[in-house]
Amino acid sequence: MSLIHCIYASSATRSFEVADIPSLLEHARAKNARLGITGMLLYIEGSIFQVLEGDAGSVDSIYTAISADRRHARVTQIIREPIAHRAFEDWTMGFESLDRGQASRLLGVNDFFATASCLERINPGRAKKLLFAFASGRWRADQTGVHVARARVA
Amino acid sequence: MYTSLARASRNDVVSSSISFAFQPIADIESRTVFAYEALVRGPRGESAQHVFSTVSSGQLAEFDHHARIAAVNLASRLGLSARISLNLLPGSLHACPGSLDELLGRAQESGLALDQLLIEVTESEAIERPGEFIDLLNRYRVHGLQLAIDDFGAGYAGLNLLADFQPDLVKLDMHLVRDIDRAGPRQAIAKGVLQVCDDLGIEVIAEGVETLGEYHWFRRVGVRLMQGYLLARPCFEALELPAFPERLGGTEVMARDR
Repeated sequence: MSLIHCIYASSATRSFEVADIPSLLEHARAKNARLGITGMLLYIEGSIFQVLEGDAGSVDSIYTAISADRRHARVTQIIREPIAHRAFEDWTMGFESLDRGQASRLLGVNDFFATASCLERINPGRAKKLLFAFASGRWRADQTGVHVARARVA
Repeated sequence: MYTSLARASRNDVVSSSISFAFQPIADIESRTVFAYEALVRGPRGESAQHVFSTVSSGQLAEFDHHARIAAVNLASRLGLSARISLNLLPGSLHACPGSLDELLGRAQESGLALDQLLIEVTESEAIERPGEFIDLLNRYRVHGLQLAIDDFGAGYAGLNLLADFQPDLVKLDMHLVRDIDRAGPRQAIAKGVLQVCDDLGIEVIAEGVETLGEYHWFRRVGVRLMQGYLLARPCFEALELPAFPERLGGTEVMARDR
């Protein structure tokens, strides 16, 4: 069995509301547990970022399903590569752990970091770096994040 | 192929004819050593050029292989607790395919964890054999081995490389680093590389940092890993700590300049 992670970003289509995510993940978590998939999902202002970790076959089949899912648009694979360790070992999918059931609290980077103490437990590595990159505006469908990043450099 | 006995004695011959200097790669945020790069030297500290001049081109790959093992053994004897960064000569994996497997085994025997090992491959090597390189990267990554592209930005194809595979680290070529605080075009290129690496979760090491001006520039744009004479020179058969700049008033200065 070869362990990989696949990290992608997408934008939620209109039929996909943030309020849907907890129930969606409830359903996904059972399947993830069965397939040995761990990871986390972050939703900020219509943009989705997800880390999927597990056996290559399982991760690839889930990613293929997501790519074809009408609730996602502009599904962009950022990284797919073998890994030595999972970054989210204990999480069948980390969204709930992040916001304790209130997804709306995640809207906005500041709120995200304020409630993200659980992120300290994540193993350092590429998944964590990309997660923070996304939270600070990279890989987001809307352009506000890009402007924020540019303004900071200037 | 050598028998294991022949290999062992060959190993001893190489070990007695070479040694290493170690230069730290510093994490300036946490003020710790991220890794020590092992640099080949003669047994009495002779230069790398001198050592390589005694090796025939046909023996180079085998020499390179034994050198990495000797470096790991020496660093382990010196009490290494950070990572160790080991160079791969261009073409040597091609000529000596089992080299990394043996290295992993020997590192474990020396008491090192596999995620303490960092392999540096030059940009030109990665470009020349992209297929092999990707395969290598992925095969060893499952063991926790980390891979850095050395001299990144030295050639034309650097950024294109990242389209097909993403190393753990890149070391910015020191020609880009030199006087960057005063050179607009270098700043523009470095910012471009940093943006790409940020987007892909690749850590950047600024290599050959020699002045406080260069240090401050990289620090300002968020580069936390640096290597160079400003912080520490290579030190023969010793793992020295870098001299971190100290905060003085609103700025950081080297203690030795105060």
